[in-house]
Amino acid sequence: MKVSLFVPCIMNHLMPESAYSILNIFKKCNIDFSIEKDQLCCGQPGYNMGYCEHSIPFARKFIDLYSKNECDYIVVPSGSCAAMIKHNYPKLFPGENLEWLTAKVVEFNSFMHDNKFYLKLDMKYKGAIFYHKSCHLLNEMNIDREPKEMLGSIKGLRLIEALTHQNTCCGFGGAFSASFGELSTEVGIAKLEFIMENKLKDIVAGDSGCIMHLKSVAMARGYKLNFYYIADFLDLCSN
Amino acid sequence: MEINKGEKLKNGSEKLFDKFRERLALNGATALICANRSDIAAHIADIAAREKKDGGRPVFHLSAHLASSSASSIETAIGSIEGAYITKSILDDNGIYIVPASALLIEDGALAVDSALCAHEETLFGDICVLIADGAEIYNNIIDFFAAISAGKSSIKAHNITIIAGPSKTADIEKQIVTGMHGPKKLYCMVINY
Amino acid sequence: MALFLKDKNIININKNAKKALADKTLQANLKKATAEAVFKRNQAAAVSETFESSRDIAIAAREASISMLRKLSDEFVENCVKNNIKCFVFDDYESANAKITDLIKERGADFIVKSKSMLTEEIELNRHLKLNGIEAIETDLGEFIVSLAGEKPSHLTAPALHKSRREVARLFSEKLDMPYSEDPAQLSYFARRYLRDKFMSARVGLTGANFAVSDSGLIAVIENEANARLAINLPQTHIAVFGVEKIIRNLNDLPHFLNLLSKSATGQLLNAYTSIIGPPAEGKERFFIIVTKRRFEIAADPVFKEALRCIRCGACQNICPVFQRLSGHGYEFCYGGPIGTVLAPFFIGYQKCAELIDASTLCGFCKSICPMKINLPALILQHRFHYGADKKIKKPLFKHLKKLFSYLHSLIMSNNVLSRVIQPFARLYFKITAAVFGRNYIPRWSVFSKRDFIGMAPKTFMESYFTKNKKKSREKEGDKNGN
Ligand code: SF4
Repeated sequence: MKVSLFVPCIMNHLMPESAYSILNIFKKCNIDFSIEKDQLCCGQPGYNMGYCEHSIPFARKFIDLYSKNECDYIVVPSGSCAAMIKHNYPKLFPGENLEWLTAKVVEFNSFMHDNKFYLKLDMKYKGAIFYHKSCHLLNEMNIDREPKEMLGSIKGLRLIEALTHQNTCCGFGGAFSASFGELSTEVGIAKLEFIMENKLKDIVAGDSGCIMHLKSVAMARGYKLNFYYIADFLDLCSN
Repeated sequence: MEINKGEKLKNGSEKLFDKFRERLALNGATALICANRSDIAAHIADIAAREKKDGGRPVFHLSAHLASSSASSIETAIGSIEGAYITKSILDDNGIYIVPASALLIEDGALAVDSALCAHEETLFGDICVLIADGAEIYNNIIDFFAAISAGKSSIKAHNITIIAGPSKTADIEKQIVTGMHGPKKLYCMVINY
Repeated sequence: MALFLKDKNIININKNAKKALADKTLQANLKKATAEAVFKRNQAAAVSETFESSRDIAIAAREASISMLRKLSDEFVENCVKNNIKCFVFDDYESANAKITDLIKERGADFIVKSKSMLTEEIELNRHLKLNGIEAIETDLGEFIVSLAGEKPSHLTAPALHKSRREVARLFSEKLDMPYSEDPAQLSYFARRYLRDKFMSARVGLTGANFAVSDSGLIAVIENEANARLAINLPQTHIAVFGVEKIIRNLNDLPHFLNLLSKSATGQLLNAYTSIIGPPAEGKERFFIIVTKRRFEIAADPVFKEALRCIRCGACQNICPVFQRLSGHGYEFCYGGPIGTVLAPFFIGYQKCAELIDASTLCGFCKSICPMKINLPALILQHRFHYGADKKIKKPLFKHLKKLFSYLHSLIMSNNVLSRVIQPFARLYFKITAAVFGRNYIPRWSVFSKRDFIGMAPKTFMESYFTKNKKKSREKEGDKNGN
């Protein structure tokens, strides 16, 4: 099985260590991986702002780049980027058959879970963590069971999640976070307050965007919390 | 879909009744089973005792279309309650209204009332509404009920349907449930099963 | 400047948000009420044997009725006439309001008892009646509170969601001379007494309709308080006002909608009262006023017709992180929350909605909870596309800047050379802000002390990975990538 890792912008620019965690995991699982040197953003920002014409150059490049790559999977470690590619690229090029691409693109959580790679990691941890269900992972990709089962398999770990009525978005929402700064921040604060109220310290999230936002809010509020992208945490537990 | 018009909730139907009771309770109402005449008397007396405030006399209103057998049992039961009396007025915003229910909807914990058999006022006024299910049609749920209505298999005409699931209530102030908003405070359903 | 629309013509979400967020009581009420509503909805859905199957059936039924809305509407009117119900169909609000006013005046009434109806909010019936000397008495407790306060409902099914018991207590004691009490039971009881007299003397009762059944000329009205039943059955004349999209095909479809609405709106297995309303009783009369405004147009739109599936349960509002803070009033449109954002451009125009359509994180929880599985985030996004592409829409400056940002992002980041060249400049920028402000600063993002920015990594992953593995990567991936 040949795998090509796509590194989302936020991970690439702001938290490269998470991409290295993924590589560590791939190595531990003996996954034959490669990384396309010329990869770019998936084009989501323009798309979600309502300018799909601005996301076309990104999509075009992505398609061209991977049309020459003979990997079995393109692993995308982000619910929103994966949803962008899988659900929205075909809408951008209605005349084109992109099934070869959308079939190859898999979100990191489903990739690790569905192929049972996580079982090879032999993970241990002591204590409780809060799992933040990243919105696009949950609502656009329908990925909920996968990360929870992976985290649930970690020996000694107590997994805590918010029930639906307590659960919210982290407040990021791309351009939303800048256009509606106060609203966005308040949503983030509420999320963190829920975590603080429940006396939790460690937060695992399925998307680096959420981590970036929650961390930014926590920094300003002086909350001492540890944030992990899910791969960071899996990697940590498998040492 | 099962339609058991006139059939009693008997053969192996205890489970069905249990579910109905549980669901009705979720809707904030109480289901009582009456296996014989003395059960009717006991339940009526019980309801009257709860209703009697500050030594006042319990007032009953009996719908004209109650099944005759249960009506006579209920009248006798009321007769033996001290101070209780029956009024003919239907605009009395007080007392216990006893009216016939025409269908039970088990999973929904609800009852259908036929306005051909019972004036709207009778389920709107009063503190307590007691629905008597005597020979009522029994349905799994509202879906089966409407299927029977539109297939003409029910005795109730569509435009006469009022489905009642619980007492009148509101949660408009801080989501706190308050019953008796514009209609009855309490809802009982007596299933006559003998 | 002709090119730019003045910002004051636009619903100012940021300003409304500021106001709402500053109101701590409002925030506390909203938080409690919305969380509880979602919790109850989930409980009811979990108990039910039929909730999930009803979802699919109701969606198919609604799709069918939307696709033949004009035909169904004609058929419905025909069947109502057979039922001795007088129907009037209007496309504009003015005519609908005028007809209702006439009907009330003809009956010599100077007030009506009214149950909850969002359509009357949409057409602003109460204001119109008032201008004509008719008082519309709201009898739903929530609506009663809101109208007493001179406000508008802030939620589809819980109009006074934003009010605390203290506020209601103050309102009742000031406006109705009620002895001050903060007990919801006392307050409700007082409203009951006050309104009962109105019911008994009213000549005209006005309600909405939750569903209208085409093949039998009936409507279904659901409620918990019994005020709609009183308004329908006590007065001589009953008028029901509703939008044409409420029409469904037949009685077999109906229970699925009832099943979904009660559970999604209030978390009840069924609402306390479901009334099926048909021919008027002896000596009474009934009128249906049907409003078609914009509905046929939406029904004909291949994308937005999905919005007409809505059964106005308010679940999408309860779960929306923006609604939970902004409150219904912040939307400045009768329908708030995700469904409001989807409908608003059709009813008040795109220009006004410039900010509104952007005010969503597209988190998608609304889509998951919507009983009719309306893809609300996709429809909101569709509005953004339309807004961006339609040259006829006059746009404010901030929208032009947003587009410029999006364009520059695309121009630079989709270019392998430019996207690399810009890196050191971005890092330099953050170095400068750190020196000046003592922290990473991004305009519009970190304007207040509640949120910092984590900052950029000293090297991007791609930079570090491909320098580290320069040799290796040449050997390993060189032939694959062709470089
Ligand atoms: S859009 Fe869906 S969730 Fe929102 S009110 Fe309508 S039916 Fe309910």
